[in-house]
Amino acid sequence: MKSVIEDVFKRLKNGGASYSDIRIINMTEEGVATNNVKVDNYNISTDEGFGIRVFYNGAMGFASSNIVNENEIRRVADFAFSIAKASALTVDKPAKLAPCDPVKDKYATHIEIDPFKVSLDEKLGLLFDCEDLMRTVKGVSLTKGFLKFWKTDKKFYSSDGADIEQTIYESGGGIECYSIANGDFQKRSFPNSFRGNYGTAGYEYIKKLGLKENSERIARECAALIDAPQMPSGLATLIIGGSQLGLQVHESCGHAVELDRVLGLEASYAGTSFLTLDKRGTFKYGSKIVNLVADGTIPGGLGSFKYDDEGVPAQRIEIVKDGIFMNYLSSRDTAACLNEASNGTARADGWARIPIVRMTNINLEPGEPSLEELIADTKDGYFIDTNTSWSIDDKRVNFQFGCEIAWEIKDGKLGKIFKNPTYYGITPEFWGNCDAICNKDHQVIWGTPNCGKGEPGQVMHVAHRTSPARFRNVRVGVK
Amino acid sequence: MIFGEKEFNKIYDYIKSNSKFDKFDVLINAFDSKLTRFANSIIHQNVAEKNFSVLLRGVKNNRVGVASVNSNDSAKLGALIKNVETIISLKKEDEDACIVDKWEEMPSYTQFWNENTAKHTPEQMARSVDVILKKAKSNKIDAFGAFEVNLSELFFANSFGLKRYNPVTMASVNVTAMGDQYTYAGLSLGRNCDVSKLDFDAIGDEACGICLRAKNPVDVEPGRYDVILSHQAGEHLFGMLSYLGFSARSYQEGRSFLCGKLGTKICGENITLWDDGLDVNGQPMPFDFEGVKKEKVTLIENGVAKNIVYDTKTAKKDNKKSTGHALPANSSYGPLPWNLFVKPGDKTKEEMIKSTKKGLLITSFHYVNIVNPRETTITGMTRNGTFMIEDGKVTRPIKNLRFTESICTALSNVEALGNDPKLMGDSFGGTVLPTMKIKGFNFTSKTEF
Repeated sequence: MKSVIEDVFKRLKNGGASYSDIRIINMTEEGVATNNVKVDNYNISTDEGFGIRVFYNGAMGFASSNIVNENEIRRVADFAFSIAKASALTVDKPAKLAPCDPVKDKYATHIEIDPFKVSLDEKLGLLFDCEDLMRTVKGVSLTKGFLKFWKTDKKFYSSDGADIEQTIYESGGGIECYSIANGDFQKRSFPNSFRGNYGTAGYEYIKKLGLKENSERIARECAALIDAPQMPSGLATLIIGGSQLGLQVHESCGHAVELDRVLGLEASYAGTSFLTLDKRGTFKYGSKIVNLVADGTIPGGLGSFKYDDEGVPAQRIEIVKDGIFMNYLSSRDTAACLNEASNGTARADGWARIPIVRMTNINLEPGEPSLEELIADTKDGYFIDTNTSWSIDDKRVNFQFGCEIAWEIKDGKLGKIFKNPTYYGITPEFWGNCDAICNKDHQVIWGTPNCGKGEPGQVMHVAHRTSPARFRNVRVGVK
Repeated sequence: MIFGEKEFNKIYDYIKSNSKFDKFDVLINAFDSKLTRFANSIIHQNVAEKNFSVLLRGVKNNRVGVASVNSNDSAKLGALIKNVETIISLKKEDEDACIVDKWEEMPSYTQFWNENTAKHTPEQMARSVDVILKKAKSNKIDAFGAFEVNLSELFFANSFGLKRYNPVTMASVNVTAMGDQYTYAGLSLGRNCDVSKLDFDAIGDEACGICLRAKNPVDVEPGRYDVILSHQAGEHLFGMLSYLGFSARSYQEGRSFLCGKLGTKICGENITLWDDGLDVNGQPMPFDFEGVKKEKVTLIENGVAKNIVYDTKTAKKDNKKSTGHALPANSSYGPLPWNLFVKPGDKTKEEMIKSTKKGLLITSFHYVNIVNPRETTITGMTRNGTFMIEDGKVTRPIKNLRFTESICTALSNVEALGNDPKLMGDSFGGTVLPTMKIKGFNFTSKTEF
C-alpha cells in the first residue's frame, strides 16, 4: 500500500500539486444503553476509509472513499486533484501551509484494560446495579445508563515524507434518572449530562467514574427537584461546578480562540470570534487569576493525542495568561496567515472529513481554595452544576446556560435547592468577575464527545480540565 | 445511481445465505456528496465523500443484536454477522424483536432522484459559486457559505421478504454576505432536489441586499417585540417542537410536553402542522429505517395537538400501528417526525411589514437550544441581518438580541402566516413553512454587534 501511496504522491506532484497527504482510518465503536434496567441498545460498528488532500495553485481539494484498495486510492487521488483545480478557479490569493517537519513515529493510548475485551455481562451488570440503586429512591420513575468505547487506528502519510501511525482508545459512560410528577419532569445525571464523562483510556476509566457510589445521591436530588422552587431572577454570586464550567470554557474560550473562526473561514456556519487579531497579547479576557491553556498532551484527556491530523505534534499553548488573551489554536493553513507554525490542533472527524482547527483539552488552571473553603467564604449566592442547555452568539460573547440543579449558599453554607437554574453573561465581563478558582484536588478532565463544527458537519472529541470557580454579579434566573 | 439496488441486493443475499438468525433486517444507507465551501470570497474548502453503511439487526431466541460496517467485502460482512451473533449470545433476557412481518406495498419512488443533480461536477459547482463571489466583490463585501450536492440511496430488506429502495438527490446552498470584518451580514438559502432550480443570481442578490441594508446597526433594548420571522428562523420553532413532543417514546416515558395534552389546544387556531414523507415539495423519504411506509400524520390541527408518531416498538406498546417514523436500529431516541409541513397563510411579507407599528424583522436565528422542555422554552440569538420595523416600514438595522421564549406561547400569538412556503432543512430532515408574524416575542438580552 505504501508504494502505491508514494506513487500517487509522485504523480500528483508531477501534475503540479504542491502538497498532498492521505489519512487511512479504521474505527470500531461499541455502545451500550440501558433503560429501566433493560438493555435499550447494544451495538458494535466498524468504519474504515481514507481521505486524500491535494493542494494546487494555492487551492485545496479533498476526496474520500470507504473502499480501501490500490485502485480506489488512485481514483480518489485523481478526483481530489480535479477538485483542487476547480477550487483554484476562484482563488486570487493562494493559501499557504506553515512549515512542518515530517515525522515518522508510532503512538498508542496507554490503557490498562482493553474495553473491547470486557464482557457485556460486566458492562450491563454495572449499569443495572446503578439503575437498581437509583430506583430505590421514591419518586424516580425513569432511569438510564450508557457506556461507549472507541478504538481508532489512524495512518497519516504526506508528500513531504510524514509516516505516522496512532491508535487512540476512548472510553466513557454515565447514568441518568428522571422524576416525573405534577406535570413536570426533572433529571439528574452523573458524572455529567449528555451520557456521562469520557477520556482517552481503557475500561479502567469506567471503574474509576464512581457510577455506583453516586447513584442514590443523584436520585435523591432528582426526586427533591420536582417540588423545588424555580431559581429567582436577579444578580448573584455563582460558584459553578466543574462539569458546567468545562462547557463554559468550551463555548466562551475554546471556540473563541480558533484561528479559522478569527480569519472568517467559519463565518457562514459556526461564526467568527470577538478575539480579533488586534486583541492578541493585550486584551483583558478575564481577571488576573484566569489562566487557560490548550494542552493536547495530558494523559487521559479526551482531546489528547501525539500528532494532529496534519502530522503536527500535540502541544501545550497558553491561551489566557494572568487574564490577558495570548494565543489562538491553529492549523497549518491558518498559522501561515500569521507567518507562524501550526500549534497542532488540526483535527478531522474520521477519514471522510478534512482537518480543521479544533480544541484539544482546553483547561482552566487551578487556584488555591478547596471547594469547602470557597463555599464557606461565600455569604450569599448559588452553587450550580450539570448542564442542560447552552447557547452563545456567533462571536462568542453573549451566552446563556441552563443547569440541572442549584443550591442556595447562605452565610457560607449550602442550603435549599432550586430547579431549572439558568444564567447568562458577556464573555469578558463574566471572566473578569471570576474571583476564585478551586485547587487542583478538585480538578476533573471533562470530556465533550459532541463538539460540532464545519461543513459538512464534523463532530470532535475534546475536553476541559476544570475545578469549580466563583463569579460575582452574574445575571441568573433568565426570564 | 451511486451503487444501485442490485449491489445492495447482493449484500442482502450474502447475509441471508451466511447467517442463521430467526429473523433479521438490513438497512443500507449510501451517499455520494460534494461540498464546495467559500469564505472571504474564495473557495477555501472543497470536498467529496463516497460511503455506505450496512446496519444489520438479527434476532434469535428473542434476543436482538445490532452491528454495522461500511463495506461490502465478504470477509467484513462475515465479521458483521459474527458480531451480531456474539451480541445475541451475550444477551440474557427476552427483548422486543420488532422486525416488520406485515407491510403495505408501495411503488418505487424514483421521482426524488434528479439526473441534473447527480451529474453535477466540482467544476460546475465552482462556477456556480463564482456567480455569488463576483456579486459580493462588486458590492465591496465578501461572500461566505457552502454549496452541497448530495446523492443518497436508502435500501431496506428483511428476512420476511420486505424490500424497499429509495434514491434521492438534494442540492443546497447557503450564502452569508458580510462587510467590514464580519460586522454586518445578510443570509440567503436555497434547497431543491433539482440543482438547476437553484437560482444563484437571486440567492446572491438576496444575501448581498440584506447585508448592505444591515450596515451600521443600532442598539435596542431587549423586551417583547412583534416579530416577522424568516423561514430559517421559524424552522427552529417547529423542528424543536416536534423533537420535544411528538415522539411516542418520549410520550410513553412521560418526558414529552404533550403528556396529558393530546386532543387539547396547545397553540393558535391558525397553526396546522403535519408530517409527510411522500410529498416531493419537502425532503421526501417514503419509508422509515424499519422499512415501514411513512404515513401522513397530522401533528397539530387548528392549534389542537392531534397525534404523535410511532415506530414498531412504541406502536406495539400502545397497541397501534407504526406510522413509519423509526430511526435506525442502533439509535435509542425512538421515533421522530422529520418531514414537516406548516399550513401557509395568505399574507405577503410586505403586507406583514406594513401592518406592523413597531417590531423586528428577523433573518435568522443562531445556536437555538432548549431551556425548559416541559414548557417548550428555547433560547437563541438573532443573526445575519436584524431590522427595526416602525410604522409599517423597515427603518434601520439593529444589533443582535437573544430570545428566550416558549414555542407554544409564540405559536399562540401568530398574527399572520405568509403565502410563501419554502423548504428548510439539513441532510436529516426538512420543514416546509411560510414566513410568520408573531406578537410579543420575548428578547432577554443583547450584544454589541
